[in-house]
Amino acid sequence: MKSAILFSLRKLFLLIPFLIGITILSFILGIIAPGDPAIVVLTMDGITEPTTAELTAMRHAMGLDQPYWTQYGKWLLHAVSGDLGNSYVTGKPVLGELMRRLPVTASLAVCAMGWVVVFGIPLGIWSAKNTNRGPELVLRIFSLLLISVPGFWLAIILMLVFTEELRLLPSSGYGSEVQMIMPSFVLASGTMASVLRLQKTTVTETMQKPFVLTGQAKGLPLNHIMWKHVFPNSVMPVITMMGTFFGSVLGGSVIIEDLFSIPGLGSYVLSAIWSRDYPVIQGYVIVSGTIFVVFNYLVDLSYYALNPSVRQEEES
Amino acid sequence: MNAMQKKSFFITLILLAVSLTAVIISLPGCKKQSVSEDAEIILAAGRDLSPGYKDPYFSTVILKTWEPLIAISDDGDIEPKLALSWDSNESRTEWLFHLRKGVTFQDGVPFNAKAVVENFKRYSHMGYRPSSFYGFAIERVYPGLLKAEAVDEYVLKLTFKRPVPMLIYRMAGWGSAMFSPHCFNADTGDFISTAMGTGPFYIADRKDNEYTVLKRYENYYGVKAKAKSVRIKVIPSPETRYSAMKSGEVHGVIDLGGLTPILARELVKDERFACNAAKSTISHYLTLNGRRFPFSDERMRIALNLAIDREKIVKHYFCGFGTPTMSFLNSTNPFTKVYPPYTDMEKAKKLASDVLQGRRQKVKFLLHQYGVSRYPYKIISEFIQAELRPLGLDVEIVMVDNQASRKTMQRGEFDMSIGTRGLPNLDPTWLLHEFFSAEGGMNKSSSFGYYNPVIENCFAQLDYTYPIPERARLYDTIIRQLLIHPAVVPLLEDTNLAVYDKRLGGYKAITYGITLDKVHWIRKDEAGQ
Repeated sequence: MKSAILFSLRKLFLLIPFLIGITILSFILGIIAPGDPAIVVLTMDGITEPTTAELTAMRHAMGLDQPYWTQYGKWLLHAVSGDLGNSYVTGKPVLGELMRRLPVTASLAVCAMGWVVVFGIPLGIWSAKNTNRGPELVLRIFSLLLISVPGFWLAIILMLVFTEELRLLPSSGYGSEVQMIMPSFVLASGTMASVLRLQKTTVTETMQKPFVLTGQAKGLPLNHIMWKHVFPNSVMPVITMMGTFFGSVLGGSVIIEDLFSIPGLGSYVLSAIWSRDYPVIQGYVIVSGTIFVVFNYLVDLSYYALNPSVRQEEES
Repeated sequence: MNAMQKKSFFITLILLAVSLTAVIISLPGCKKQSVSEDAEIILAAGRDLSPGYKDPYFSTVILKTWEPLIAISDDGDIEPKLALSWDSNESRTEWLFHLRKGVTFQDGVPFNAKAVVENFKRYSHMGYRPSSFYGFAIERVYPGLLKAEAVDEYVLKLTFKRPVPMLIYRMAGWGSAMFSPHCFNADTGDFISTAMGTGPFYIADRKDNEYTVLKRYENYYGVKAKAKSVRIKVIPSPETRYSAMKSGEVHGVIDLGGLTPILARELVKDERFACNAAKSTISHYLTLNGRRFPFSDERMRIALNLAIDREKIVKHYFCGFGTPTMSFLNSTNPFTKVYPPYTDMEKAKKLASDVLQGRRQKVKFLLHQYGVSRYPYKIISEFIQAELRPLGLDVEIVMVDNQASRKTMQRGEFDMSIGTRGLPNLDPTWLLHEFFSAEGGMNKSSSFGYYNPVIENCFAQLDYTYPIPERARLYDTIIRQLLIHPAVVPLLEDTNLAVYDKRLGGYKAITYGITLDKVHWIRKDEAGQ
């Protein structure tokens, strides 16, 4: 128990420098990138060309006339106290907007994860048990197709079939379960197929281990061997993949959010990047970075719980 | 897995699929709805048309929730709205506005000179307020405003430090939006509650970047809106808007670029939909870097103007929805004249050959992401690339994001680019000055390097020429000078497309948006007629 607490605390402390590091990195990238947020705000309508006086006044109002380290230090101080500042473009508080959009993206990620768990893992196990048979070959081709097809293309095809032709699913929006079916499937498709293939490989490998043979020799039923012995030993790499997937959805769902009109984090940060809206970019980095590392932290903890060799290593 | 287990596995899968389909079909939102006269009309827009509290207007003018003192009519001219008439002293420093009587804001507050003065207080305190529609700065619309006062209950007086002969044209549209004084903080300029104007619709509900619900304002002083309720859904992707139209989720598109011409053409192949178009204030043009060779030579700029076939661009890439033009000033402006384009490839080749002296020249065509995502700029740039080859110009197309594009243009590290221009009001002075005066902001920031003494003289005269016909002559001189000595290459004037479900009536494109207040579900008897 003591080693478990020590393990979790050690992993937790490692997260803090990592989070500060990524905010510094994103701040530097913002500085290096061409473009001035003050000009962006003053020329938002595409017809206004600001005078030097207007530009100076706007830069002062935004605090962009201060040295870089002051700008970053002030932001960090405020961030620690829970204030991520206001968007340069909309003037609205960043934290409020992130918190409004976070559940949207999170629910999209959870639904996508649902597809992966419900179809990826069981079909992977089934494939391992039915390798080289007809239905498995069909499933293999289908999974390859899902991995290869770009998400936006699949989204358009699904919309064509389920929205335009069959009129079964709505094309866009957020708020009801039915609106999440298509976007979450598109988001999950690649990972679902990857998980299927990975699960199949790891199950196949595990089934060749001596303890499976021993179980069979002892006359244990195949299902018992599968669920009690093979599955726990084969699922670790899959959990790692899913942990990374969940984190990556936070920033990687931009196209899906845009296509399906989902007001999530991805679309928010994309427009912030176009308009050099530093407070939004920084806020997004800290929030998504935190979630990402927390998920990886949970994956590490699940390793500790599920994998005896990790426990042994920690105790020694 | 034995045969029995396999069978049960597949049966389970089939059952799962069947039940999932059954659930989906039974869910609300998937069923076709019968349409009653008062049913909500759902329209789609590519962006949030009511950005809210920090925006100078809260929502776009096309939603008809607010009205200005002076409006732009459906055909692009001045239209008295909340101000019925006006007059000024001879030096154009004092203006009197006679306001419409019997008007109330949507929150019940009466509209009068006192309310207008409060709005002017807001204008003067909010400084420059950016907006994705048109940014607002009091100095740009009301330069040198000293005082806004209520002379009596329905007469407003504006006093200026210096003459403002084009005031009415500047105020038209976005420049004189009126809101109930109860819904904003005059000291900060921010709205403190949902904006309440005097328009035929009021905002009943909204969610940032998701939707806006408009309801008919029953106490509207004029002809009431025909629809009881309109929902504007934000659907950023044009392909998704197309799918939403096809599936019947939305009944029309609104706002510029609602559907690309190609998608609109596809959609109207389905007999359930119709489309109409009106001229918009948006023009497309090529920017040329006049600070470096080859476009520093005027002959090369003329050659480009003669070589590019604008008719083909409109026909092929805008599906005919556009007007080819050689004039920089959009034809919706009351001070412009239409100059139809013509091509003369032989003359263009001769001019280019004189400049290049038989050599070939590489030119960098800067393409910015914003334009590419909204207009068919990529394919147009490739078309222009092919068109310019016979002139001895080898065009290299470089795609960059907006900010990088801006910086590159400012540094003059490009040769040509493509852009759009809109008109926030009807006064062309500021726009022409920005582009073609030696001191113009756009002239400098986009490296036009343009100087034309005749045009400079016109700008000088505009400073003290007050009668509108005389000013119109000066604007025309500037436009004609630009045809003879071009700085940029005007390509076409865009159109505003209204694509809609045929069950809707009164759906017509106008210069800004659609005739939203006239849109309604067609009754059975009306359909019969």
